[in-house]
Amino acid sequence: MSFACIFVPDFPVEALMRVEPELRSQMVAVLEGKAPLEKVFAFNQKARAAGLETGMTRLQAEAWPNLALRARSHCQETAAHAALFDCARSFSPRVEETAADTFILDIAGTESLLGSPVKLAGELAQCAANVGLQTNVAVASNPDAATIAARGCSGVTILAREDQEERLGSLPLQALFPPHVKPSEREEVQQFLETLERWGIRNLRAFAALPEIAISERLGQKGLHWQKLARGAHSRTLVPTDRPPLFEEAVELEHPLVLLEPLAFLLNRLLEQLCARLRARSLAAQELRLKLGLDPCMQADSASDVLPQHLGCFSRTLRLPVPMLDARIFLKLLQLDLRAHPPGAPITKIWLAAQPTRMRPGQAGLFVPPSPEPEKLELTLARISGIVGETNVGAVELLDTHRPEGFRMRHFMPMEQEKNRRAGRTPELGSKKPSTGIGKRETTAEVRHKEATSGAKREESSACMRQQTGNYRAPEEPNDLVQRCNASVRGHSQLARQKRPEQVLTALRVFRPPQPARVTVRDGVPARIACSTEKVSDGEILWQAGPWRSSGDWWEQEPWARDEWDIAIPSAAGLVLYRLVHDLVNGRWWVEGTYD
Amino acid sequence: MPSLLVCTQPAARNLTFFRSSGPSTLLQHLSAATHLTGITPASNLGIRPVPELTSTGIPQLDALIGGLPRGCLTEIYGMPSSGRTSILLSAMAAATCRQEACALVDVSNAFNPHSAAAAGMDLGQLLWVRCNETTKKNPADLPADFAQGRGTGRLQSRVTDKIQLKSDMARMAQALKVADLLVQSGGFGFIAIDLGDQHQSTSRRTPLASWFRFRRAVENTPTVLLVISQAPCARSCASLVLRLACQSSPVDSSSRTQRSILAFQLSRLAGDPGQQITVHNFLQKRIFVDRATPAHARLFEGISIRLQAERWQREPKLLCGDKTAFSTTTVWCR
Repeated sequence: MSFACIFVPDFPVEALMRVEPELRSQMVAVLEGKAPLEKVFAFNQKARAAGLETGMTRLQAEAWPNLALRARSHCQETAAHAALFDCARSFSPRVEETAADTFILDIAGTESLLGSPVKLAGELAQCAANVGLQTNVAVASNPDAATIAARGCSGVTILAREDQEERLGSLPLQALFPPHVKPSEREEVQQFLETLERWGIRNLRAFAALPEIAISERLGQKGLHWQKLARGAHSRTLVPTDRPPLFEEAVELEHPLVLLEPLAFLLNRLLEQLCARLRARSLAAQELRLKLGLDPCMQADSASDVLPQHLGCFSRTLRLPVPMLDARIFLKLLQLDLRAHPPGAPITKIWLAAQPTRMRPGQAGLFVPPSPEPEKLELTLARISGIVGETNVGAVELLDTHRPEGFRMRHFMPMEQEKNRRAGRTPELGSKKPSTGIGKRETTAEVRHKEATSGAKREESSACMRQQTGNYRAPEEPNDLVQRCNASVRGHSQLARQKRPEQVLTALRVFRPPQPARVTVRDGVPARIACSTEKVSDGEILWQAGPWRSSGDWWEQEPWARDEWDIAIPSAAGLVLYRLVHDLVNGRWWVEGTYD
Repeated sequence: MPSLLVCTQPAARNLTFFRSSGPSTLLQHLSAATHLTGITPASNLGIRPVPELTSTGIPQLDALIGGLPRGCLTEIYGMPSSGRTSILLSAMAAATCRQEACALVDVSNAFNPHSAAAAGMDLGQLLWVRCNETTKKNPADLPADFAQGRGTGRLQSRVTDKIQLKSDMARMAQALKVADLLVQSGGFGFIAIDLGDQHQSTSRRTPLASWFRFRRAVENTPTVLLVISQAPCARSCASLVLRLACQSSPVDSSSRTQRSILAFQLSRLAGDPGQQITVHNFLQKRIFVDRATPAHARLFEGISIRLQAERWQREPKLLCGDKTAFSTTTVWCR
């Protein structure tokens, strides 16, 4: 049995340095408490060498030149703790959460997979460094010996079973206890250290050499337990933790941020940390959630239309179409999103979380045509959204309705479409109820979905339509269309792939919005058209066909009924074909588009 | 005619002789010299590979030009109702059938998804970008009379034209930016820029440098870059230029207007003459239209299109000026 312990010295300082790595080159002290009664809680090695002590007031600490003072951040410590846990879990499934700054790993049996304990310890320290933490790693035959060695020795330490006691003996007595002892044990520990100090015992070797009976008489069972620890002879069962992974990073700012550019620097650091943690556990991000704490004083002054729903907090969620793990892409996406949706007030706190998922397999099929790289595509779509607006970019999805403009936009995901096709799934269509057109011109997609929703009723509805329209006679349908109608419905993309019309279909270009027109009707047919816009030519209608009548949604709040005419008008460039619509609800005429 | 020579070694010393005899003599002389093997005529430097051609889905068009070239800029122009969009949808449908990702930069927001679906396009493979004119009309830009609602006739028309031009230019700028992003991102098999409803004056204002940049960006990529417009705007940057026109043919005899202007194929759906056609609208009003021939007896079926290849870099001598014709049909169903 062998155990590895990973320990972060000066944990509160290290948690801050993850977000501000430039602090590593200078003296740093962490203050705790409410102003003006703040006291020094933790500091780094440089500050310790300069003589700083725990419990000093802020005023006393400010006497040290070049000392960076920071307030203690619990959220950053939580994030650092989670990051350390991720590192430990990437090496062993049995990890004990000993303290906020200490994790013990059961590394028995991992030699064949991860190499020797020396190699494993080095990689563990490197993994922690990747998530921004400087750690001590020790490997020993029991968990407590590994913990003491990690607390007392910097860097990587490997203790062999035979010389374990000898190696531990040189460590000071303080290595027996964590740096920040619980308040309930603090007095007892302090008393123990003072007692041994009076006895002239300053290291573990001297303490381990004391007779057990005498220790028991003077220090009780606790003393015996500590002596066992000092000898490296204490054995216990590891208590592995099984908490779910939590990929969150947060930073509390000393001064509110107003501009997005400095925010990007901080976001970059947080994203790099998140990606490193995800990578350590072989996961990727499916969703990013950003929460920004806003300065409450400034919110009242800012414009009300840009304020978030919850006062004091601004949230954005970035849903990714495929699992991704690239901090630069995430940063760019967040930047573009924040540019389109600015927070509206100065930022005092940043909280970033990732929804983990399995990594995307990298290799595509050999015979699959090249498609846009998902990361690049997402970035491109975000950039295009910034230019034309979010609602104007995406893939089209036809709705199950005969109402004009019966479609909606959705996120463009060609890979997802391909996945659906392979799985043989039908893409989701709109939930709108189908309307029953009287005489209806439909596209094949509508026919297809109509059959999907009411396959058995098709004949019945056709008969009904014929009855309603009197002498209606359906024009000859192309063979391929009939085949489509008779084919079993498999989804839009599949059907489109299977069969394309053999002849070129006449395309309609739509005017959005439709152009209002004044139409002169002679003998029940449009004879002359006048339109105020340049898009439609004025003049005599040389040829017309129609009307094609349709109506629907008469059972709802907004019914519609219209006659469609196809007309030809001479223009300077030649003959132009338009689709003219007579709205039977309000009696107005519109030019809906051109045939091209 | 002056020629450019790329010379890797110090060459001719006595240039006066070559000035008088011409560059061809100089080239022959230099080629004959055995020690000047590093000389290459500049005209041989940039030999581009023959582009791969993809089907447009229209046999007549494929027979004429072989298909749309990949890695090249193709331009199709013609006036409204000349069949530009039909060709575009057909080509994009063919591309989506090959499971290629397609993108449509729609400057006028004129794309009709139902037409595309009818043409066989897989809409899931199509990225549709609708250029949206976001510049607000600032009342301060308008003349005082117009802003106060006293603008009449000519003034109103001028102001409206100005606003329209500004809006068109804004949309064009958006389209160029978007197209640039799409071309640079890569991975798309087909990118189309639809300038079909843009007036010639607007589309021609697009700087030639933009088209040149597009042409260079798609070079050596498997992307088909297609532009449709009313007038040629990419000019020499386009490898293939097609001109479309509506083909004239005699009108059908049953038409009420006996004018030989139409090129439409009319399907004749005979109805019972003299029968009343009832239109029942939701207001429960009954409108009786009494006509000798029911209106819906005639339906628009399609357009006959004449197509001419104006420029084709691949085979400039063979195809330039060649013509073909085809007709479109409209899908009708109940």
